[in-house]
Amino acid sequence: MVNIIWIILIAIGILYGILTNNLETINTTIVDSTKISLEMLFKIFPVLALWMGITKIAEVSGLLKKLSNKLSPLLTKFFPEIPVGHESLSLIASNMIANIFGLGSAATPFGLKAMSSLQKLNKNKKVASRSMITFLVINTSGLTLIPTTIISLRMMYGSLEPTKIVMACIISTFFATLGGIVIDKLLARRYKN
Amino acid sequence: MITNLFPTFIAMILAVNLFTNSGVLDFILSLIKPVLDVFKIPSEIFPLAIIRPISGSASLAYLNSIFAKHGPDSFIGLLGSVMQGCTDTTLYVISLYFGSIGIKKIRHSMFAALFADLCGIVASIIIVNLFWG
Repeated sequence: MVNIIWIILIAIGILYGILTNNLETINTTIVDSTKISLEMLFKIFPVLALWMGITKIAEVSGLLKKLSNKLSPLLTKFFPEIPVGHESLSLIASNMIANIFGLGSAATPFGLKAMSSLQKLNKNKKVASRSMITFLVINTSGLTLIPTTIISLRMMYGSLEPTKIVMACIISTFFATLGGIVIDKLLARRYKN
Repeated sequence: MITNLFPTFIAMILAVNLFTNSGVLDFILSLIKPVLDVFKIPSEIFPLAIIRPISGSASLAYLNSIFAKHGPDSFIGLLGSVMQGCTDTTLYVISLYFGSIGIKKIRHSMFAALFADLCGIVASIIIVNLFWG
């Protein structure tokens, strides 16, 4: 589904280039894109490797586990369908903690495990359960306290205050998550009736 | 990891670049610019708001180009940073997570998740204007 969006973007771009008689630009863009992506990948990779290393330390040292144990009891309020003490709660908590610290690559494995654990509780295996939807809405709404990638990118471009944006990010993310949870609870109620 | 990432990365950059360089984007922007001006939104930020839920790496690439052009501490640079930081790659996460366990009917999850993104984007515009406008 996501792939279709790329194809549409490419098709529209090329079509518009042909219609406006601008094939020259299309050609150079195609050739240059490979170069640009390689350069960018080399720029991002060292920073990414560093943060992945730090995550690994947080995981192996037990910090992630400790924090998620604290968070799990709170989660039962948002996921009333999940029985108390079920393994999916701690998996969801681990995913959230990793997201909160801006460690997207560490969050994904926990998130996938949480989904398969929620699937065990799901009655209809083809249809998304309420808990799954709530989990995904919270997950995709950001939840980041420390946007590590953006701070590193700002550093690379010589920002005077790379961390200046942290507070604004936290507030915006709060509104995104709040909006998501509210609409999810409203829509879930409508589905039930 | 780099070899896994690279082909997808090239395709995404190619798609975004083709879309911007061919002039389609400028054409769309010229249509909505009057509306954006009313709310004091720099029109160059608009593509970021659109790409953000679709692809994390593509929006990061776009943020990269904003930083290169205007600098990370400019108003648009700050707005871009907050916008990138406050939401996640909704489409990717939803297709990956539901795909992994074979869910076919995702009910209202896409709508609710995109609504959350919209809340985040609107909030980031308001907050950046309040803080540094």
